Amino acid sequence: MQNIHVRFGVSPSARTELAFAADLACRLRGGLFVWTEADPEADALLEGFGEPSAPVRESACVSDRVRLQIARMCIALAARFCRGDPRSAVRDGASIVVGEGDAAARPRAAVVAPKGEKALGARGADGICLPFAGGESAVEAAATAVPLAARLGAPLLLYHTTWREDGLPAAAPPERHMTEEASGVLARIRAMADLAGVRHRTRVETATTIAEGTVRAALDERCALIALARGRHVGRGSYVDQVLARSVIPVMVAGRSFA
Amino acid sequence: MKTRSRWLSPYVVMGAVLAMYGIKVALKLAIGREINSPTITGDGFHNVADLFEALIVLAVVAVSRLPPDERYPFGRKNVESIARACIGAGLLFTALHFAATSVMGLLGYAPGLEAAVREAFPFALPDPLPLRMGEDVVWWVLGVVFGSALLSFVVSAYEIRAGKAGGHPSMVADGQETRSDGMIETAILVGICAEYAFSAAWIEYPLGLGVAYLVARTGRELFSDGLAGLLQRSLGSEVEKAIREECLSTHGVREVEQVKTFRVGSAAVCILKILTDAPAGSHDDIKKALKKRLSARLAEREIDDAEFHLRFSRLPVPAERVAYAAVTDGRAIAVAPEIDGATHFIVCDMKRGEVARWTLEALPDACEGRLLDWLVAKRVGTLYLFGDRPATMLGPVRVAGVPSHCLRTLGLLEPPSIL
Repeated sequence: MQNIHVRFGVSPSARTELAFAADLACRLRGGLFVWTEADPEADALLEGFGEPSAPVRESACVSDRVRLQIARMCIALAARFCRGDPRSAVRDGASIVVGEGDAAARPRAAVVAPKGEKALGARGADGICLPFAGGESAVEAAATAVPLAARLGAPLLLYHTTWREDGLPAAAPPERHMTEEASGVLARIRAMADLAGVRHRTRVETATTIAEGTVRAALDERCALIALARGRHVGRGSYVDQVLARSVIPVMVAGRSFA
Repeated sequence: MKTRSRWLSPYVVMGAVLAMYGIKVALKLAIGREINSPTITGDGFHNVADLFEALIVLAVVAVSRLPPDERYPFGRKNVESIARACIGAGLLFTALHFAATSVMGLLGYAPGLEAAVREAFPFALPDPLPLRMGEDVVWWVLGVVFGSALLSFVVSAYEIRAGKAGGHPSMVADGQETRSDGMIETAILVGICAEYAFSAAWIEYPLGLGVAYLVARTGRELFSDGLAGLLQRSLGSEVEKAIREECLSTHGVREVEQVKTFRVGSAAVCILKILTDAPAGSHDDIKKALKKRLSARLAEREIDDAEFHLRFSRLPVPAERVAYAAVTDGRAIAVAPEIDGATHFIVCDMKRGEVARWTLEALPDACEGRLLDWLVAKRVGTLYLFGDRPATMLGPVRVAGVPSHCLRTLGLLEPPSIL
């Protein structure tokens, strides 16, 4: 059972995130948890102004609105409501938090930034793009992406961009420019995908930059999601942040429990 | 890299076409005069015109291959549309003439009717003459006409294939014209065979009417296509619908505001205005993906050569100002459930439904009891209170409920960082 967590909000982007989360929960047959912020100081303030049950009233209003939105999506899903911050409260590594702002942080659960899409694969795309290099982060991303692809029945696009090897002829296929480490990582990810029964294909090229190559490959290959994990030792300029800033496709960042 | 065969080079192909017409002209004029056949001699002169047409097509192809420059940003490919329209008009004339000849040939079997028609139309009606051939030359005649027809079909197939491969519609049109010649030559051949085998030369005429119909249909298509290119007619609603669908299936595209399509020569030109809310840095990514996808989609409709001009615009930003009735003790802020209990108002500038800027403002003493005037002066359109309630109007200001009293839930504050 894979649970999906999302913050409640009244803005259009928050409503889009809720729609994305509800659709994902429905497709994964998981639970949907809708979070509202806990603000004890505001609760106390209203209590002082003669409104003793503000949290209860808020909960009733929020649940009404969420149920109405889910009903409009014509899906059968019972949402559960929580108060607090899902980024810190959700500690289950198999859960997914849906939220644009949450993807920039490092929560324990995986985070999906919907990038304005109302559903995963809303535009007819179905693949999951999994960029990899010679490091462990791709294997960690695969640990989240492969089970997700298996449950969604989505194929994986294993994407790698590499530097040109000076000693090789100009016409040499990009695969020959791969390092041994990257080839090792590719073999491990392929083994994970095969074990889970997930279809996969590999695209290797020598793109200008990693973020650009990843986003363009995902667009070219009609992927619905880009799955990444933050490297453990990256200070500034993480590829995850670059892809998040550039991508128009939803991006999933593996949680800290894996990374 | 795969290169196109030199046999498909337009110059090689047109060289073969010219050689074919040269042979046909020489043989038809020689044998036509030898047997005193106006049909074959006439067809020989028709081929002289075809020979000049092929030279014009060759020139058109050379001009159309000139690269685009400042004066001709789309190149000079539209010159092919002119050639296409002219060849189409020529074919229509040929079909009309051939149909009239066949009709008059048939009417020759009903002299009274023929005379009445000639009286009604005393000019420009052809007068088909019977063949005058001896036994000694019949095989030569059959050989020349059969060879001509065969050559026409073979060379036309070659020319059409090379024209399509090279994106030269004038060559395709010339190939179709050559195929029409082949059909006419076949009709003549059948007539000759029927006359000598069964003494039934009339078979040529109904067959000729059928051929005239096919030639006219080809002529109309070519003329219509040529005009479409010259007048920059759109590629059609079906193609434009497919383009819109493909755009909207691409991530980052929110709306397709404008689609303009037309042809320049064989190339399709698509001018699109895309509305997006994607960051500017990703516009190139979307553009590249769109071009690739649209090329593939148009190729499904046999439009292999397409040029795309994509312009990106931001989605329109409807701006409005809203306010939240609030209470505060100087440390915390919460949205108030009633106007009367509010100590302050949070005035928000909204852009596309998101809070772009907000200020916490106390109702000035001078406005005490005149809240509505103050809200109107602040240009507030909607005033929100905590709790579900039906929307009501307070003068020009709409009063509605929000489900939370917490500023973070309402998107006025960022969630706390756990970095």
